[in-house]
Amino acid sequence: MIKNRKYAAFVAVVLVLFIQPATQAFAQNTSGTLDVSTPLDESSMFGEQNQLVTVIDAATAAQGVQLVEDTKTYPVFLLEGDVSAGLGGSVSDSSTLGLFGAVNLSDLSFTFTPQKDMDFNLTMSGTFMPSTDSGLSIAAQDLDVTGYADIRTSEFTRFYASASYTYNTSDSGSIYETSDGFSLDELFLDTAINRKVFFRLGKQKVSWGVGYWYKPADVLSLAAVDPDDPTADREGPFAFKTDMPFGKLNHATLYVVPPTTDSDGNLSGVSAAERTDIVVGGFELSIAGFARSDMEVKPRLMFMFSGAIGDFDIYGENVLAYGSDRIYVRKTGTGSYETYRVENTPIFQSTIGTKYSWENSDGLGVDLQVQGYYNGMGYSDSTVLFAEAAKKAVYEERYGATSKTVTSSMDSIDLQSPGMFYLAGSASVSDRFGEGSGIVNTDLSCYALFNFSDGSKRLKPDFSLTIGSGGSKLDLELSALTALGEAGSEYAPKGNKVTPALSATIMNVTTVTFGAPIYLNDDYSFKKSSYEFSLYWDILKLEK
Amino acid sequence: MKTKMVQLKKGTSLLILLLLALFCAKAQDGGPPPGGGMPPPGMSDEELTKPVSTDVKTYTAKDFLSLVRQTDLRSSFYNSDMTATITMVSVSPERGTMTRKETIYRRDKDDAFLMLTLEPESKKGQGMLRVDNNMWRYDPTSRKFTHTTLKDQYENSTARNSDFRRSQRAWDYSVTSVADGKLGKYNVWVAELKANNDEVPFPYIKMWIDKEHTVVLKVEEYSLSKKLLRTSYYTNYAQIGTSYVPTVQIFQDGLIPEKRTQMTYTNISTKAVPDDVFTKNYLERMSQ
Repeated sequence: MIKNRKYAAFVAVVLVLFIQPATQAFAQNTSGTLDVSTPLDESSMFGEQNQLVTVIDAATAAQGVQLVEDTKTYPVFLLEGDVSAGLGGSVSDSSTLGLFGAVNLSDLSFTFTPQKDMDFNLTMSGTFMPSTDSGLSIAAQDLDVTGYADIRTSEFTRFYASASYTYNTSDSGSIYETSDGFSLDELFLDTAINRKVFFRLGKQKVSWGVGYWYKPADVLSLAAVDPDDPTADREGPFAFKTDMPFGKLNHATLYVVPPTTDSDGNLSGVSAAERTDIVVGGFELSIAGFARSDMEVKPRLMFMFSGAIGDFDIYGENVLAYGSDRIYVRKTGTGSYETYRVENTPIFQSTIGTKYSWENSDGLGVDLQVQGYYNGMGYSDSTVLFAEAAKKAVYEERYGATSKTVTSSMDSIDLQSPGMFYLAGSASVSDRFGEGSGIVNTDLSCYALFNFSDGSKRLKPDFSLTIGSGGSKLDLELSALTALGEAGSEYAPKGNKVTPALSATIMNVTTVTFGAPIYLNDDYSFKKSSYEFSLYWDILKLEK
Repeated sequence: MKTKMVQLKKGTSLLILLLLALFCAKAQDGGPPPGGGMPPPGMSDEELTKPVSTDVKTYTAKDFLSLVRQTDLRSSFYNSDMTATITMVSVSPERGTMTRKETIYRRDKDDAFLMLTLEPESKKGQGMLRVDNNMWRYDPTSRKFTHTTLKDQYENSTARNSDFRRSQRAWDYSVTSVADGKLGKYNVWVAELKANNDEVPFPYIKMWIDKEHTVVLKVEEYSLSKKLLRTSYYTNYAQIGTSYVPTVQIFQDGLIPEKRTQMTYTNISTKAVPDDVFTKNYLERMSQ
């Protein structure tokens, strides 16, 4: 059994390494040649051979002119991504030094295009290592496989499906834990009527809201915003979308979310959401409404805006809901809690943010962003949720009895964004020095998030240094993700913790990483720590 | 009493939203696009079209600005839409040779521009829409639109977002000196210009303009400290009616000699583009 699994992992790695040259032989060679070994010769570029102007008849141009023959042929096989090999290790207070050799795949992607407007793709990331243990869990770590099929029969008609599989995901320190397993990310059909009304039918990502860290108007997304990666894609619902552009840049969009069945076979309500986007000067204004027939999610009106005032970009979202979606909990005695709801009363949520960006032509740049959030659906004092029993009471009220530990990372609207008052911000300063092979770029940045309702904070200072074009000599990054707060709080679910990390890529070939999650007691004294490190050499670097 | 207060609050909120919607609808048209069909600052339409002397000694800065404006107009399509496929080959020490293919749609009379990435596969479906002062970038992975700025460098190459839109140098710059010159076999005007606003990525530029066709052959772009950041070459043009498309453009990085990008235009068309192309919906629909 062990032998078989080791064999499977070995075969996977060998396939990746040795099929690649063969695959590339079939791949479409779209790269042109551009010789940069010698300076450009102006007298040659604009010499006797140069024909500066080619006159094209206007009538011909109206039909389309192919100045250079398009040599693209089908089918196309394409392999992209990076493969590196090396060793990794870890040591902690409770374990001895462990070292392992490994092969790391980074977005290794295989695309098959049998004909124009038809693409199939499979992308894989993960670390594969030999194992003496009895299970595949040691042979593959942080495995993430995604695939999609994109088939268009016309400019308007399209079928798209994407799915992913994650396995043995290591603790990234994120607030929202990634659950292993298979997931259907999107599955939809596009169609249209007369270039006027456009439809998307099926499971789809829907990203409403203009905020960066907080998006109270994003009522259709099924997953919360990850504060450490606010731009990451999030799961959307199965919905029927109708989009009708009008005027120059305006849109009216209607989503209808059909009922779904829960594990007991009960049908949920039907949801409908309408949004109208209007562009006024340099501002985009959006007015939206949402309702669900079973009132599990309360009806609401939303107003969003984004634009610029002078050198500052500003954005905001305002939500007026009739009742709260949340099941609340309060303490009734020692260790006992009761749940309650807030209904039939207007509840307001509002966020506003601003961004400022400045860069001069000599490479000095400054970026600032700040966003505040008032969450009327949150607790003014959310410390009640520090207790596992409180979380469990809420969870059981919504989903029924459970024996598992309920954490704030659980995908539950009752536990997400529990606070009422939030503030987030980021700042960065970058600069460039020198030129040629000795060009140096530096960037010093930090983001910070505060939940004033439970006192938790999260910040990450980061310093990066690159030497050579794009870090061709050295690409160094130092950071320290820091969570401060009591265990069970939103931004520090495991209590006070600092994770210093270093990553250095030398000559674009060798990458060294070091990370040391350090857990601190409530008085910030040392509690425990572990150390992880790796050293990888790039074997393959394929154009991405 | 409490119920009445709630109803009052609801009614007031609705009224505010409705008033806002009415105001938005009224304000729909916005102002004219900067640099649209208008002459540069300090110039009238009459001055823009007056005959240009061939003797550089008689040239004034305003004369040359008129010439720059003519190059802007010649590179624009005010009487039709323009569509093209652009192949970009970029070379840099850290990434080797990279190839990208984009489709662009331009409606210069509305200052509307849309770009979609066709290749490489990993970037396919990424796009950008700009109409007047509104610019969105679309990420097909998160299905999210974000605002961006024309100052952005385009995907770590020596090209910039502003290289794809219609030219408006006469609007953004003032002429500080003019001279005669020669570039290869071509007789050229050589002028130094200084930016009159901080929206442009290069505060100082130097232009070489072909005398015969009044098209730009070369531009050197400098930083605030007068360091050469980039040299652009326009070695071939396609003339369609009164408009010129630079079909081959080469961008040489000024700080890193081994960093260079070549853009080649193919499949040029002036066929009318449907209105729905210049919408966010189109970007979303055509993305991966």
